[in-house]
Amino acid sequence: MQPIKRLRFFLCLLVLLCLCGCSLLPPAQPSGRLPDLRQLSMPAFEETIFSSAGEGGQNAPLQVDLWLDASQVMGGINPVQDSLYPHKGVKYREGGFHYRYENQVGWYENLLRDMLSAAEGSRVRILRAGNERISDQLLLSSGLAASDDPALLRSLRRDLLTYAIDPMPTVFTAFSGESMQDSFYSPFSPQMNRIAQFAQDGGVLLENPGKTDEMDALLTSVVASYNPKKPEETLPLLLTDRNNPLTYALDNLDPSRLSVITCDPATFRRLSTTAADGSTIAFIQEAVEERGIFDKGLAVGLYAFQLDYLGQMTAITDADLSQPLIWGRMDYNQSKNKLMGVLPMPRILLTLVVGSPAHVTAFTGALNAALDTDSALRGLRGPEKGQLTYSKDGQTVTQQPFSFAYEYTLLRRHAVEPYTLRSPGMTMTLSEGVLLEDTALPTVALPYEEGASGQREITVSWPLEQLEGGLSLDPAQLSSLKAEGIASLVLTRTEPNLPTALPEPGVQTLTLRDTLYHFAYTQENVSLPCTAKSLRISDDGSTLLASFTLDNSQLKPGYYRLRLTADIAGDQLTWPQVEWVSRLNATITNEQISSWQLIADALSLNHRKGGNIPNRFTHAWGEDSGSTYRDVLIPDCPPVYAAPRLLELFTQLQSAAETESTPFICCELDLFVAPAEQIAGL
Amino acid sequence: MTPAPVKIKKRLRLRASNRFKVLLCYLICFSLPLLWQWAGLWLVYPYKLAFSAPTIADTLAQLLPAPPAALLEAASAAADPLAGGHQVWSQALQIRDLHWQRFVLVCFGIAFLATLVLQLLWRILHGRAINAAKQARRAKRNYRLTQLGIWLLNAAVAYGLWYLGVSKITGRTLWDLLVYFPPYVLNALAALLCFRLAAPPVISGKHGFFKRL
Repeated sequence: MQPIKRLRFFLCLLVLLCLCGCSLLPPAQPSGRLPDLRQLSMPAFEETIFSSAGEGGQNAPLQVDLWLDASQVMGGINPVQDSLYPHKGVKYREGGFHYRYENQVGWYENLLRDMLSAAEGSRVRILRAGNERISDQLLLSSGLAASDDPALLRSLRRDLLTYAIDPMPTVFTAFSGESMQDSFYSPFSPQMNRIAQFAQDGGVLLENPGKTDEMDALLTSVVASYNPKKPEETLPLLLTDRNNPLTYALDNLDPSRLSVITCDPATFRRLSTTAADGSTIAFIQEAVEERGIFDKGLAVGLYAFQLDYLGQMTAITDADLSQPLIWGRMDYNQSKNKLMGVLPMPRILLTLVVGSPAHVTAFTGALNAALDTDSALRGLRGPEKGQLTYSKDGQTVTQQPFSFAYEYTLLRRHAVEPYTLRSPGMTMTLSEGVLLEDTALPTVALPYEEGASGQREITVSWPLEQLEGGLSLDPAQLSSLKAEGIASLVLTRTEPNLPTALPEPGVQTLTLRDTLYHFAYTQENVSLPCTAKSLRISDDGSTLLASFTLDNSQLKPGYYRLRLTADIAGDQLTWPQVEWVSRLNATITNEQISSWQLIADALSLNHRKGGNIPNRFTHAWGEDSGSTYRDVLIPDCPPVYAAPRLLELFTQLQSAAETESTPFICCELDLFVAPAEQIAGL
Repeated sequence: MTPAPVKIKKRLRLRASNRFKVLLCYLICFSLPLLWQWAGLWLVYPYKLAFSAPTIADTLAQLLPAPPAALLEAASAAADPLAGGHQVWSQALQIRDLHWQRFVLVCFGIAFLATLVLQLLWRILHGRAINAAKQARRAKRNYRLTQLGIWLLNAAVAYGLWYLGVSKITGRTLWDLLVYFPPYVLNALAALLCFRLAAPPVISGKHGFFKRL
């Protein structure tokens, strides 16, 4: 063979050997023909904000509005001038909650001081909420309000009701030292008009500065409009079912401030009525909902204080007594013709604290601490020798000494912290895949197999803990789980990897070997390969389980962003029982009201005719329940020692706090579908 | 008594065209593997083999008993990131590609230079015009040994490339084999051709084993 031919032969042999060698090489590992999907960039997720609006502004200086109930029953005042009973003497003042005997004042004054103390460091404004009303028409006709904007009218009204701004604690001392006729609690008292003290600097401390003259003129005319000799011409018009100091304060409060509203439950004439169509109109609930208190994320703290009281009660709920009920009196020694002391009686005062949950919590915490350490609120008061009795359920009750006490509860919109994938104790059970928790959004990485069929199930579980606020969940009424697609970034098409390929907007392109893989980002009409399966509570009641399934045949490589949600209907959450509300509540019937009015009328008639009222009626209508006086059956003493309609008030506040639904589960997560070997490296 | 023959050093007369042809032969033969490798890495790789590189730095770092710090750093840069977003992954893949291309070039460069040096060494050793027939026989024997060594050298480097890198590439295709291995075959073939077609004039001839261009 010639050399050249041999060379050709060897070359051919070499090529053959190479080809054979190639066929003998170990096969390549299967790749699934997908690029490294970990290069994909799923846009950042905007967190759903669950925190309520009321949480904001915690760094701003706290402003506190102290709405003081200035109704006559609060101050133990009988507007009828010719009352038989003395109001005020040298040593004493029978001022209801604001009574005084020498240096001893009612616990209410100490309570108000403690409220100021709890708001120390804040801007405090005291507003007088009495039975008087400053109507919208009056504001418009006086020229104070240029428009009928409700916010402006409320703002003007708050200015007109302002009694003091940034007061010293001694401000309340004056309340127990005033004459009864012109006191803070008198109807249309001159104390209504405090504009003069703000006018010196043009009213800069008011919400509407520069209008002090107009305000002063308006309030002067309002005060002058009342004829104290003929209270019956004015007061019945004010004492309507819907009107009471609490609704007045709720109607006009500034939701940006912390509002502390004191109210005597005896001023609740009615808290609800029935409309012509049979529906119930709840006044407090209506006022709270209209102001959007719970909608704004505000909370309402409800206090019930047991205080001491000494004074006359002419209006007890919707019973207007022509002759007042006397509750508590001076300890007068007839033989020595000398005042021996004071015999106050227990009564309940309610207080609402309305504001952002953080502010309410801070204020009530400070107030509770102040109350617990206030030495002036310690000790016993009341008749120690059984001097005062009253009838209850036909039985004579001898009043024993009593102490200051208070109860408190917080009401806020169902503060259910939604279960999320970041909730403590969350576990996820995957039939396949892995949960990546160090990502911005929890991500479930699922292995992708082309042409796979069947389903995968993912179960998310949380330890079922006590809901905030003591709410409890009815497991039988759990709503269904919903799965919603938020966005997706999945493989839509491939094309050859050529130099002529150009990037496309909104499309992420990954390259692997000779192919370009285009992943399109979609935010609308995202078709999800998953179906919500179930939401249930485990048999032992300790775990909440949410399951959803993924259809393998519909999974595409890339990302799916989905949201799992489940809501709780308002009626699924049951409010916790607040024991003290039922304990302190007093139910009042129309029959009782009628009987109270009848005996008061009989006493009044006898008094007007010049007759003396028997001594047995000088306190709480005595102990002769069931007997008659001038043919009128003597009823039990009205339950002024309790809190009439407290339960209804509490229920209405709860109803106002309820919502149609509230998020219970809200899990946003990404599904990352990629070849198994890529997931293994995560 | 006849005097001993005197070795007369005759100077060979070489035409310039012959020199040029020899140079051209070298250039053509040895440029082919260079061109192939260049085309494979710069023209073919981005469109046929993009983002398919193995983690060669890590493999080398594990192979060496005392890897240098630079290699460890490179391995760390190309490794699967423990944390980070898509940019980190993309960057790691790009670094992997860069490392791999450099490694392929280094392997090829070693084989190419070694082949060229061996071939030129043979040429230098057998270019003296003394005892031409004996020189031709020795050159022929050494050629076979050198060519075998070149084949073995290129095969060894190619196997190293396979063992350290190509075998770890997922989803290999024919393109991988065409880009990475033919240059080694071409190296050996280039040497072979240069041996046979561009041998020194003293041992080559029109009808000899080593052809003269």
